[in-house]
Amino acid sequence: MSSETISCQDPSPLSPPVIRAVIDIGATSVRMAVAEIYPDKTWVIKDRLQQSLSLGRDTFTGGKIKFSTIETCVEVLRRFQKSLQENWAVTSTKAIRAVATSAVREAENREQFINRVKIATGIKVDIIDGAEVNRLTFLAVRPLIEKDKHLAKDYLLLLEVGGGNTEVMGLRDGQVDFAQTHRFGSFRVRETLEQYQEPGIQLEEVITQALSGTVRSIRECLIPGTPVRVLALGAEARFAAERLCRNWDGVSAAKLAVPRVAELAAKVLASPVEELVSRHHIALPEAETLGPTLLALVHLAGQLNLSTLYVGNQNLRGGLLAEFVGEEVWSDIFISHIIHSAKEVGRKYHYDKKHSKCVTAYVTQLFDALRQAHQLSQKDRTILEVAAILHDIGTFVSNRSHHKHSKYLMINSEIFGLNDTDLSMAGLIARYHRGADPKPTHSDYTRLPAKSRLVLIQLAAMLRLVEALDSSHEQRLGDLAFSLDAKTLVITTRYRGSLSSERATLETKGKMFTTVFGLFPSLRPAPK
Amino acid sequence: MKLAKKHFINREISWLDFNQRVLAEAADAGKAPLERIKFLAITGSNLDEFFMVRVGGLISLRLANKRRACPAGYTPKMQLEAIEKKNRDMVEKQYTCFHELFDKTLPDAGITRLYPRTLTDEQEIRANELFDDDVFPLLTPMLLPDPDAATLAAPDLRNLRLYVAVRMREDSTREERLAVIPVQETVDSFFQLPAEKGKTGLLFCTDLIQAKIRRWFPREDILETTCFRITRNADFAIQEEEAPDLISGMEDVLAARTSGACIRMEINASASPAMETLLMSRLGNRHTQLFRIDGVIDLKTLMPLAFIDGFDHLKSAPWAPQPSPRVDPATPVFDQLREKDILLYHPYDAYTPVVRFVREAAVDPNVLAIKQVLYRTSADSSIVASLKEAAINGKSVTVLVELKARFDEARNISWAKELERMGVQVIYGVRKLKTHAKICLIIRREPRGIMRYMHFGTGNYNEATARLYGDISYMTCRRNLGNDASLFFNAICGYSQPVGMEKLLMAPFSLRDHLLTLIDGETQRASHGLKAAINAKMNALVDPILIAKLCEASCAGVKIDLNVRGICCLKPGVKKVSENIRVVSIVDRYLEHARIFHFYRDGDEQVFISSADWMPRNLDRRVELLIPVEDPAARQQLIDILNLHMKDTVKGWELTASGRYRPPTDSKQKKKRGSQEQLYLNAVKAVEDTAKRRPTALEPHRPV
Repeated sequence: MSSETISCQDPSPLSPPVIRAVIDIGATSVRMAVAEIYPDKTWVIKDRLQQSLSLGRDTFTGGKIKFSTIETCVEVLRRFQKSLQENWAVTSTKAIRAVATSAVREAENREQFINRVKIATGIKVDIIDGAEVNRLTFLAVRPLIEKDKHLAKDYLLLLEVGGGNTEVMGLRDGQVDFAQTHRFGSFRVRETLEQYQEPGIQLEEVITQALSGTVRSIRECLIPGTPVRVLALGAEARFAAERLCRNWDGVSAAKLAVPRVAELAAKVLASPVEELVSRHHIALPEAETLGPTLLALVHLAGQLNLSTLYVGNQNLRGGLLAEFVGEEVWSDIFISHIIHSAKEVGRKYHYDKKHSKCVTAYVTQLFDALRQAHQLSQKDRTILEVAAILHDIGTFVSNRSHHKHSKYLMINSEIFGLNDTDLSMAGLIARYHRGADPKPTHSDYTRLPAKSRLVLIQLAAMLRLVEALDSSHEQRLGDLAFSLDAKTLVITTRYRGSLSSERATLETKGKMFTTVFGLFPSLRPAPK
Repeated sequence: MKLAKKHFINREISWLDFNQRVLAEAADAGKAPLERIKFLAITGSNLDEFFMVRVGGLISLRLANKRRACPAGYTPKMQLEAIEKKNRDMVEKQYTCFHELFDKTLPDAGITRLYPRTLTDEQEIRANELFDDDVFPLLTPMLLPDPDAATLAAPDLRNLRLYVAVRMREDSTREERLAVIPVQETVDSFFQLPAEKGKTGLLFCTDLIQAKIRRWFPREDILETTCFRITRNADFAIQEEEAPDLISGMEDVLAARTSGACIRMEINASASPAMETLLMSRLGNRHTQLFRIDGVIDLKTLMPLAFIDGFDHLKSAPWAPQPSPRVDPATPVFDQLREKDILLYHPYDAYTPVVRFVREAAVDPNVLAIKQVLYRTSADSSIVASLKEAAINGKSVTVLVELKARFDEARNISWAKELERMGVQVIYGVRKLKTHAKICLIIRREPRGIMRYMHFGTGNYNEATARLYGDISYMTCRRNLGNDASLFFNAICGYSQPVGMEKLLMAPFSLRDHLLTLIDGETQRASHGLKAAINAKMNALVDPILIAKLCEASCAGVKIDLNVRGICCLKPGVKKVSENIRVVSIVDRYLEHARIFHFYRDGDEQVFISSADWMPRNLDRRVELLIPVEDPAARQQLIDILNLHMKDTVKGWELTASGRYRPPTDSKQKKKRGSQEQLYLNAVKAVEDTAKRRPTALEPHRPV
């Protein structure tokens, strides 16, 4: 996808490329990548800018971003804009996508930050959550794992220890199994260390303790006996790769021996930050996070019994660009990772795989048959599919009101590619697959914006209807066909037995569907 | 590899040796007389700067009680002593040369020095006119009071300005007084007086002033007159932390330079001991070195003589810069660069394409932005004019003007302000670092997207020095270099912190490490029995770490050819230390100024050009660039240049294991050519060959 060519000849066709800039406001720095996007949807990063900024230090130690830091950030963004204008004649903020991660997300005054930036620069900063970070990171890493099959073989963990959070993504044979966000970060570690106010306490102990939960939940997700590789991302990992792997091309993954990383971490931790700044030409905030982050990586590698760490040069900006290009976002492959990840959650809660599969197949068929009527997007279809896969996981807790248990289990799960809004939509669809219709007294429902409520009732109505078609959990009806005939939704089956039980369930469970779509479901045997 | 003190050469001594080599050109009887005058003037101006900065710096170190020895083992005190001895020797040689020229060579060739007492009537009349019109009205004497008894404040005497000192007794009080007449730079240092046809007479202004001293002091008893000049310590760096902004900080430095302690006093050899004592007691201090000069003080004032009208037979035949056949004068430079990279070696290749590059950008409607670093440039520079024009044409023009360029500060401040008035975004350098890189980036909108065109150089964007200094220009639109050029400007403009670059190496970040890696690479190859070679050309080699690396490589069997024009602290050819290293210094008509580095890499050759010498200040305290030249033709051009210079037996001085330079072996041989002459002839031949290849059909100009 991203390719650099040496020749001075432009490889792309004659029509001019589009210039897009993506900005990532992180815990230690603000970075911008400027890319030319060609008509064939390939793109090349032409400019990289960065300015270190201690947002993470402010948020993770003081709870909010200092006024002076906000102003510095504004100044940095203005300079970025100036560079965009000078180098690329880009003056419109429409060409810019800016996102902020945990350091802004967790700041009490994030609204103030976003507003100030918007007023001063015209740039609208989107705050993204861990799931979104994971999704974008995956988009950025995908070309690498597609190219390097060995790396993606068996189990690959993508790991980025940030200033505030640690993002972990598990890929099995290149498919996303799980994605997690842990509240572990170098600034939090430093904060903890400072709270102890006791010189005796070792950084290593703090890290071990803070990471114990992360280690446990990673282990839970892994399949015992399957070999695991770790691909570490982020500036600190890159720093290690640049020092330890002299010939690293910055495109493929660098392979580092864990003991060497440990030595480097020890050396870094033994040096005063000022020395790191002058010796390695890095900025102060980076120098502060370098030691703890490297140590955390070493610790995680040790806990997973790894002697090698891989390091990738991929980052959020690459993902944002891929998203900018557009086609990647809800592509089939991307969706397949979401579905795969949803099934992993299902497996965790001992879902009825066959029923889930059957309902999912019916509901997607129905969705496609009704496209004219509902005009919903591919994204909505994917969320519906996730809801269908997981609609019964609540039975893991109790059979009573299991739809409600399904909802909160889903909302509190991490499914790759879905952010909090997407997850709560999926959870609500599952919640309404049985029981009461959405009501004004249901606070979860009324809290949704009107537009989302409309989407929800349509999707929930579809799921509720098809659930009735396998209420026996026996998949008796086999393959179905859905078609529209005036006011009737015709459902045909090759099943030759009695359809009375299903018809009866359809009668009650189809009411919501009829109210929403104005269609009456009719289950019929297929003509011979 | 750890080197002993004895394996290093002290840098000050090495510099003085360089000036001796320049002096040898002035002393070369086989050379055109006016060319010799030029070299003599250069030794004078070189020595002035050396005093102000290097001697000044060492004196500051002594005053601060710093005793750290240089790698060669000399403490500041030892260095000052060694320098003084060598200096006195050099001054003696300079004036031996001066007398040889003015007493014999020039008179024989029809240029005679005249003295006021021996003028012919016709000459006297002209001299009087000149004095009345161009000298007397411009000069104002000042009293230099005795500091002990002074009721008047002593005037501040200017650094390096010539003064005529007058000892006199006042008519009424019979009191002895000392006055000085500053000889303003606006007054010509010598006048040409009428002589026989084909000849000319030279009357030095200071001689005329002394002869006519009564015009200023009609009533006093003149006891004695003499010329003198003081040199002040100019080793002041800007205190960036304390200055409210760079311009005012810079102005402080300029002010300090006019009031630094007097470290050298030159007076006429004929001055009496009384005069010497008076001047030294009023202006000198215990660190002032006194030089009694038998001849004209301030040799650089002789420079205009080298260019006087007529007398072309006394000048070297001009080597006119040639229009490089690699550049088509009729096709826009951008179009040509899309086809191929262009490499030029000035002044053999004319500087015109570089000037065109910026000029075409200024008027090209598709050019969005021009970004350039200017270190030293000429006041009437057409590049600066193009930048102004571009700004007026609405392009985004960013210029980094290095205010900290020593001795050019005042000039740079003035035209930087003018650029600002024209709408150019001017950046006054980077905090704590001098920006020495030579780069110009042009951003152009094209049908296939944004294209970036670059000029990288080893010399300043200065059309005047481009005719006198040997420098490389490399123009390209390679994408990866373009990306890196953008990153570079983003960094120096403060838009972004420096980020890793793909091809370019930047000091003070990656440049030094990369050089070390490249040298290490050759060492490794040599120790594995592979052919390994380094061929590098630079102005100065001082850095002890790089020197140690080079010696290590030499010990491993790497063949190292170094073409170092000026200071070289490495002692080559020492058994078991540097026996595979050769060092050659070329001193000829043009100032060798290019930095080219070639690493053999077992046949996968890499060649770089750079703005940086191998000195700690360049690698650690300046913003410099190391640029890989990957175009095969351009790379070969550079390798050929390196080889040609290294083989120069006519103008190349070889540094020996003793630390002394061996004069060129073939300097007296008429048939052999120096590398500079060869390069000039090659350039001429290339133009002729291209002309021959041109189609014979005539192209008539037709009415449009």
